[in-house]
Amino acid sequence: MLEVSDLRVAYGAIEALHGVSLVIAEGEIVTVIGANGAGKSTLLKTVCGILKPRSGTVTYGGAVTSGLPSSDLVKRGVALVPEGRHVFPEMTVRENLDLGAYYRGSRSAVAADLEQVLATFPILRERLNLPGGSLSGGQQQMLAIGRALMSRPKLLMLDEPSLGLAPAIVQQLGRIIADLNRTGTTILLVEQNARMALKLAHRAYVLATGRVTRTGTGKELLEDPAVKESYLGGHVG
Amino acid sequence: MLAQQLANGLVLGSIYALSALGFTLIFGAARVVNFAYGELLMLGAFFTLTVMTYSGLPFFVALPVAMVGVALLSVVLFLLTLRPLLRGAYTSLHGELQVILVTLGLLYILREAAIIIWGTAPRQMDMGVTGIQMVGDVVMTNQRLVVIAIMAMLVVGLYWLLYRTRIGKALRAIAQNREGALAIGLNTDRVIAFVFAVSGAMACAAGSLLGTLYAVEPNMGGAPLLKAFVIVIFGGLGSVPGAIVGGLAIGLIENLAGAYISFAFKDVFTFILLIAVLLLRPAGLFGRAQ
Ligand SMILES: Nc1ncnc2c1ncn2[C@@H]1O[C@H](COP(=O)(O)OP(=O)(O)OP(=O)(O)O)[C@@H](O)[C@H]1O
Ligand SMILES: [Mg+2]
Repeated sequence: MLEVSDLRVAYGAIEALHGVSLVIAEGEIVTVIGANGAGKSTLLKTVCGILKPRSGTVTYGGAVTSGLPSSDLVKRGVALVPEGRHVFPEMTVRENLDLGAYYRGSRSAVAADLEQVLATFPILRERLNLPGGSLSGGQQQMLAIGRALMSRPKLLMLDEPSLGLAPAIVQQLGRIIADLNRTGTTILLVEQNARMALKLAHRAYVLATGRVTRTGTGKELLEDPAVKESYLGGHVG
Repeated sequence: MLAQQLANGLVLGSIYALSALGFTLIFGAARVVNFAYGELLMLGAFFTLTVMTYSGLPFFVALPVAMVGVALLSVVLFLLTLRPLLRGAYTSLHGELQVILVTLGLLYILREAAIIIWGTAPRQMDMGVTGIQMVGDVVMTNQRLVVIAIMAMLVVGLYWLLYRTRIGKALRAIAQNREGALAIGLNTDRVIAFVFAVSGAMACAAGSLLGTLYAVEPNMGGAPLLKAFVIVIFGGLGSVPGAIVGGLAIGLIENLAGAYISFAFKDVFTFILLIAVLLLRPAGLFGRAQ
């Protein structure tokens, strides 16, 4: 479904990804773990068209999509839940969700998906007319995921959804991600919280300073001594 | 006397609010400080005057025609000069400086072009509204009442655009959270071009109204640009209510300070107030702390 090959991405003169390759098959949960500044967000932003690669390609659904604007990727079924949630603070929860469906034509299908999202996140139904900025961190994360789901994505990319959330909420998010996957959404999950991500994922990649240093099934990496040492060893963050 | 000064301040404030609205919209959605904005006001006044002169149409018909014209011009300038730069502008300071230099360059090009086309002599523009209204001992010309009415209509229209239309909602989203808007693919050229169009139309209205109260001339854009700057910082960068309240407030303050303290120093009070607001609320009256 998604193939990233030899991707190099730079901010001005500074290169953040030095030739990253990975593949995701339809129906998978794939996770990319890595420390601060490894280039995880850069990877997701490039896949969804926000950043343009210096070289290398992103192929999605059989077509090269690197170089296309993010609006095109959204229309083709790629959605990003950005790091830090980035909900629209002065718009209501309802308006936030509606904007996720910006590029969709059918009103009735959108209404049905709104019901679906509100069933998944009942707390959002209670706050439908409150501004997004008034929600707690966990609720904003749910709103950001709901907003992305409103575009009816085939590939959902989540950038550190557990950041700053209480453990109970993180657990709940994990269940929701697994459920979304079971109902047919392919997931690319980026995390520093490696334990949760590796448990959820079918396959995983370790990204370190702009390069893929390890790959395997989630289970393999959970048990890999080097991964344990660097990403699971009770480190803060 | 006080009521009269308040009424006069409201007229001036209406025009300030209109100028600030177009300026703040561009900043909010595109993060561009458009130094050429004052020249769009000036061109708007000339467009309206030109339509009136050549077609014989009255001001109220010529104004919407000219607003469409300036909206188109604003979009064309965006597509030709800023769009190629904006892509890189948020990843490096270099890009931001380029954007500033381009809009500064446009300022001079547009002003000189106006001088070449229309000459430097000030011209009259007649709204064709006569008569006065008296309420108690407050005297208002009908013309000034029309200025307030036009500003009120345009503000209502703008709110309708921003809150009721699809593209308006996208525009607010971009202004509220760029990263969020990027994530759902909203920052298309179409939305940014739209904000340039709306901003151009607002500039045209503000400039034309100014022109009927004072005169139409190529260097009339400088002062409103500076005022728009102050108002937008005062009200909060990118804030629509901030621009409206800020515009009205500064119009009122200038009039009151000019009448009761010193006409020569009326601008000083605006800046004292600006400094006070910035000390107390660094993000501006309606601004969000970053
Ligand atoms: N807008 C930017 N301008 C310049 N450099 C940037 C920018 N964004 C990220 N970088 C740099 O690129 C590298 C990768 O950053 P990125 O945000 O992709 O890392 P990350 O793995 O997502 O980190 P985190 O876990 O902190 O979110 C870092 O060295 C970072 O400093
Ligand atoms: Mg990141």
